[in-house]
Amino acid sequence: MKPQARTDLLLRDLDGEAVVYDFSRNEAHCLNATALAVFRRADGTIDIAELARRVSADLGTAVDEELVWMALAELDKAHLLSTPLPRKRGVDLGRRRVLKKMALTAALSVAIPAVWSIVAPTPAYAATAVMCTPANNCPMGNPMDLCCGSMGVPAGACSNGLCAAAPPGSFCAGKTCQ
Amino acid sequence: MLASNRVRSRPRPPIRSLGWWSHGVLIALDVEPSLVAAVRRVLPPGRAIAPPETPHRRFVVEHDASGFTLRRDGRRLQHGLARTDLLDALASAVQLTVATLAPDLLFVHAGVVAWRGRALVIPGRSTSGKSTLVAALVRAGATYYSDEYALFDASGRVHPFARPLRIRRARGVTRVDPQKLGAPVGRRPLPVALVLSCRYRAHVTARLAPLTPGQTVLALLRHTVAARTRPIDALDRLSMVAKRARALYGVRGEARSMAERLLAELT
Repeated sequence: MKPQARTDLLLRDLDGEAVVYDFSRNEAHCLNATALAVFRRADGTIDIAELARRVSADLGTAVDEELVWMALAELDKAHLLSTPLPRKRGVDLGRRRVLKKMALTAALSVAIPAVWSIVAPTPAYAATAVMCTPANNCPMGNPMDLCCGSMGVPAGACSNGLCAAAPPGSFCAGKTCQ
Repeated sequence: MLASNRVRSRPRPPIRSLGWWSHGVLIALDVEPSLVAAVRRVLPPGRAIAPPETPHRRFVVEHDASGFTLRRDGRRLQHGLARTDLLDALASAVQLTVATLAPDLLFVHAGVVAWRGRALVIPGRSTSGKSTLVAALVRAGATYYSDEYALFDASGRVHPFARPLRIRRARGVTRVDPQKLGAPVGRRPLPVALVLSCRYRAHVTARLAPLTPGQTVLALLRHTVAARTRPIDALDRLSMVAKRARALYGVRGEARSMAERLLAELT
């Protein structure tokens, strides 16, 4: 198993961690130092044992294979690896088990690998100015349209032409949401 | 049937063309003369210009018996609107257009105030309580910059987008001139001292934790209008902000006590 990180991503370093932007999925991810070290070293040419050795050297502290697997699982979940990890590896990637093991064996000298992710918003979603739609004017087929709430602000999404999630009694322009 | 015929035969009111320049974006608007003054009041900060022949976007307001219809570049956005709803919809649509297309500034949906020459940025969606917190900060002495957008330039400084403050009351939203609250309005770009990503929850004591620079970028990016259309530019600017500013996230209780705490943090 020689994991390979994707190379078609935008990466910005930020004081030991990094933010990665995935153009194909419109997602952004924050990698902490441990996840970033594994991401940088996973070039598809070295196996897990060698990866652990190199990441240990980069971080200046011992990193075992289980922690590398954990980082790979986080990267895989965020779709940051070229090839998805095999489902059965004989290694338990459960965060609780790793944490328990680390707590039993030594004080943590390296951060547990972590990847935080968001979906980049569309312009309408990001803006205040999401226009809200009167209940009886909710268009079909555009989930970004929002129904008006009781104060004329968005309060629910249009779904199949209905203001599905608007709270009971919401209204806009004198029209009660359905 | 007769009523329907009468509606169809009613003469259309004359249309007046307007031009508006805002943050490098040219907007053309075709509206009835009776709406011109009200429309100008709801447009984003900018200035009137001669109607442009080739605007970035053209908005047209039509009026018939069912109410007002709003179109953008020929596409119907909304119809059957009352006057007040039309003005809200037009304000939102023009603002979103400017926020999406502004060439030199990155628009992030956020409230912004300044305190002692540095900015506090509060990213968040509508109804997250941003405007309420901005109003409380302004009442506590902060300088008003915006309750809708933080505008970041290429060096990561934040510019004002000083529309009237939105204050929610039991009967709806009203807009209040911040100067009527005794607040100065910011004019010059400022470096960011603090980013606060929080949700309002009634009757709780604020619980805030620090964000790392990378998490701060995500907290801002998730409210960035051009996140998908200009991701490289967005990441560059927001990274600059995150490297220099502190950031906190969590839940807050009442706006007044939170405002006092935040200004103390910035002092």
